[in-house]
Amino acid sequence: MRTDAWFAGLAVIVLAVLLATALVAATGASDGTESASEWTPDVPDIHDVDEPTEPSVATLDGDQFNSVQAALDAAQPGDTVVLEGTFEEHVTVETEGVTIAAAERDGAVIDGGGEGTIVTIEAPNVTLEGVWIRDTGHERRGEHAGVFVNGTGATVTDVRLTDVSFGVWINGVSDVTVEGSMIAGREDVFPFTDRGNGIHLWDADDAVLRDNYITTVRDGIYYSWAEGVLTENNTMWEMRYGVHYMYSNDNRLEGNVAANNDVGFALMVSENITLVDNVAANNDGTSAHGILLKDVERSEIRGNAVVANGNGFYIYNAQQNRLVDNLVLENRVGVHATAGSSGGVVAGNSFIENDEQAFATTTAQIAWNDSDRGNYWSDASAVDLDGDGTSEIRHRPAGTVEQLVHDRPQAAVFAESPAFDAVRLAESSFPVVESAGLIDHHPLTEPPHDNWRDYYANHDH
Amino acid sequence: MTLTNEYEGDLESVEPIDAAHADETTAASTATSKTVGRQVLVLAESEYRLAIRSRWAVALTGIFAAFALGLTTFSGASVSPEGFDRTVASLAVLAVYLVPLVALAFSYDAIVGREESGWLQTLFSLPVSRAWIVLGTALGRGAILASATIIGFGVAGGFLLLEFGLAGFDTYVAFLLSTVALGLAFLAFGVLLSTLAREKTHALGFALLAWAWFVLVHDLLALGILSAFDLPGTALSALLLANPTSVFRALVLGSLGAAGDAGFASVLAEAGLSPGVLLGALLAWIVVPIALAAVAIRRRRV
Repeated sequence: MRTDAWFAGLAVIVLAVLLATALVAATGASDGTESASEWTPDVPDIHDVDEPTEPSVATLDGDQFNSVQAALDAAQPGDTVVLEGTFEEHVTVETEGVTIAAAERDGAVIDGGGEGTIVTIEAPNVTLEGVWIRDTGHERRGEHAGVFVNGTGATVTDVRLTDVSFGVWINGVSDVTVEGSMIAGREDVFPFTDRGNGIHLWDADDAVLRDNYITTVRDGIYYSWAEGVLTENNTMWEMRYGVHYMYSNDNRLEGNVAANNDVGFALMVSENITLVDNVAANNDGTSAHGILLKDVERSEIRGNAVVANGNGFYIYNAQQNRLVDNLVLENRVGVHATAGSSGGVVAGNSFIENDEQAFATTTAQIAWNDSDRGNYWSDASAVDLDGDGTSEIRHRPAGTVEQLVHDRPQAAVFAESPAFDAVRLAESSFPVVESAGLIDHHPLTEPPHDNWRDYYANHDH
Repeated sequence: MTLTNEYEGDLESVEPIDAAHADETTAASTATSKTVGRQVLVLAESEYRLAIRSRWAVALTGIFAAFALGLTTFSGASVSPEGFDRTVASLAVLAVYLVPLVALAFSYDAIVGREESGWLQTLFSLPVSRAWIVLGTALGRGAILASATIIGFGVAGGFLLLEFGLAGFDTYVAFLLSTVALGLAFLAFGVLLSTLAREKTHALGFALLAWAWFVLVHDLLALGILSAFDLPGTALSALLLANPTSVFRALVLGSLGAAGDAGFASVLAEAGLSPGVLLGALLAWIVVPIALAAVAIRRRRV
């Protein structure tokens, strides 16, 4: 009879199926949307270690001592003191070139009982290896450290430091190496400023910091007046600043990871820094910067990944820096430049899926590209007619509309509208419309990074 | 006019229409609500059948399916993880262009076109209130547009389901239902224009102007006003609610999770625009134009 009813009937069936599926999907809990904010680095649990059960013995050339200090007092330069078991004491090393080593890693504990500095190195070329050092004094102004290094050329290897105010304090001596160590501060101390730093460099030239894991301290690695320092493959998480940097020139940071901190890398008032291949992820505390560059000059910031931070890069009055080949992914603001930062090169970076790709407070038009190569912008409409990998249409990552949305967040409700597209198109296509803000004359058509996918991999620890 | 005869047949079958009550107002006052309901249904059904037989229904479905499928399957792989949220975000931004245009094109001749073909005069001579004629027309065409939207986007949804799996599919269905509402709002507006216009070409012109206003000009003006003045939250809400496309965009994009802009949702919350308010506004954009058309058609001279 009603031969035409098939159409509405089909619609009703489709709708019923859709609603049923949606209901199943909604009750099926897990959200299918991947987000880079789930990403975490692979880190060990520093507190997960077995208490040594052996009797406490310090061995020096076959002689056995029941305290570390007694063995050290008997040692000659170049001797090795081997430790087993738990010692409750504070140790000062005054003999040149001695080695203090646990019989096996974490097989010996030096417990400070909550008072003062635990191991003080006063002689040159001392080595500390495999020992577990815990429970320093609590006063944050007291410079209470797990290891206080006052002798040049010291080496701290595979050491575990727990319940410490400061981890390793390098006090005005050069050529110190800290490697393969784990440092955990006191998690229950707040605010962050009442804690000490993981590795504290004061006038510590030519130090090498490598393969360390640092967590729950104030700042993971703190530099002041330290030059020629090499910092590589360290991991810093759950603290205030992963790396904090004052008045320290000519240093290199490579392959470090700073995740889930207030700020990943806070580089301030320094010049000629090389910051390459580091990762700053999920730094979204009060300040929430992935990499902060404040008053930093003539530095190279290359190949880093800033992922899911508040500001990926926050650049404040930083001059003549090269910001190249970085991956800027899923931050609230990809790059925020302010206070007259100028004169550098910004090229070869991938700006992918940031809420606001880039923002600069400026009354001029700033070009973010090299002579023939700009950046990749995931939201740019790229047109490459001659096949050279760069678009012939310039891109305005921060033009009139973005400026407006930044100044008046209310405007965001209209920001995805066709009107917004029209203004953007006008700014990109017709050089007649010139407004202040950022511009990329040679946006890349393909992202120079393909490792962005790594940050969406599920990590189950 | 074989079609016309068929519909007349339908109308005559409605009981009871007493020949003695040929006068329109008398009919309305004496007819029970049940009778009125049946009259409206018959009118709606005639509109529905006409749209099926003139291939409008299939054409609309085809347009929506091609649009949704093209956007979801043939668009180049973008550099970001894929998922329903992101697909919905891009679909919502582009549906704002297409859906209003299609809805207006489908509805601008609903009344004035019928008048030019002589069908409206026939209807007016029957003991049916003019308001119910408008309502029936809108219901019939609305059913077609809603069905076409559901089938067209639903087919694309099926493909997306194969691609992304079940998780997050509710976002897509919410988007689809919002799109149905957006289409109906513009259909209602088209019916209103059609009731007011004297000639079909006028209605077409008004419809295109309305599209340009709601899709392009209104938001551009709003951006300008926002940049020029420091507006309170209520003014922002008023600006947004004054445009069904903005309401639709806020409704869909505001409900998205990780793929949505965090600032966007907070701005909506500050302006007091909860999903319930937005949904109510969109429904008002459907009901109010039809009500206005139902009033305006009394003044129409055939």
